[in-house]
Amino acid sequence: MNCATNRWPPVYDFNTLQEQIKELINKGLDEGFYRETHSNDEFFQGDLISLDSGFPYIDENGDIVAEENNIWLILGNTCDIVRDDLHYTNIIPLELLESDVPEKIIGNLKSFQNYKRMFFPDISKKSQGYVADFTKVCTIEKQFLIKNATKINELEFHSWVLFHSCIIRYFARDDGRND
Amino acid sequence: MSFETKVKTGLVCGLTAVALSSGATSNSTLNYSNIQSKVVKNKTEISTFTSTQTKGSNIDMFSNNVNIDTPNSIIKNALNQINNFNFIDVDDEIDKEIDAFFAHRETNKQKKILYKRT
Repeated sequence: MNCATNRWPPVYDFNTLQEQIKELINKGLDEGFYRETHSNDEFFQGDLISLDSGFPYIDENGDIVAEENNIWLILGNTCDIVRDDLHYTNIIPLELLESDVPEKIIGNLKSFQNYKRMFFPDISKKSQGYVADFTKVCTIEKQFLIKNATKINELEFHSWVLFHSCIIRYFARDDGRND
Repeated sequence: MSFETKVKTGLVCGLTAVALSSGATSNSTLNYSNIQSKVVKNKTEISTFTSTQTKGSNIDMFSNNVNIDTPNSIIKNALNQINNFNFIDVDDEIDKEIDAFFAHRETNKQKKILYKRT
């Protein structure tokens, strides 16, 4: 199977990128962060999905544990999701920012002042938003995802570009060993 | 991961980072459609790379048939560009404050053991 035909184009043009980021800033983080209409038939990188499962990891004792979670962000790229020859993709558990999170922390997350985490608005206003921690990545069998996940939101183009910026900013940042 | 794979990965990340970050700081327009890169030992060569720059651009690392010293320099340049990307400039103290908050935050999420190490 080829890649989805209606995926976002690659960001190759600096002027386009600049305009997209400006557009995002001008619209604010709530309005325009997600597409007004989205496809429920296909999954894309950056989708917020609902999926009842656990986030598995190796704990301090070497045991494999799972933390219950039901809202996730698709980290794997769109093309890999639709390729039949690839069985897995990556998702990140989204942490709900409830009312106990101080306003200062929320404000700084909204200003993207943390390398490891990216803020995602909750347009339903049921919470203060979501945060994706790039140190928490989970592998998932694609068929399970496709059959069981429900899409909550799909990123607009400029939000997707911002998502890329944050991924790159974290994973490709200087590690300081030569400071 | 082999050295070559690391270099290629770094190259892709670096180029993408430059592409993403430079948009906020320059008026340059790059066309990546003709990028062909090859890694020769510790040296990366970017060939058939087309670049159109406008006055005021601060991007000068890409021009046709430019040899760039090492993949590290590509990454370093990319990160410099990211640091110029004011929208996502990070204050290190705030960054650490947020890390500390989440490190000490108690969540209500239940954990269950899937596999006990023996």
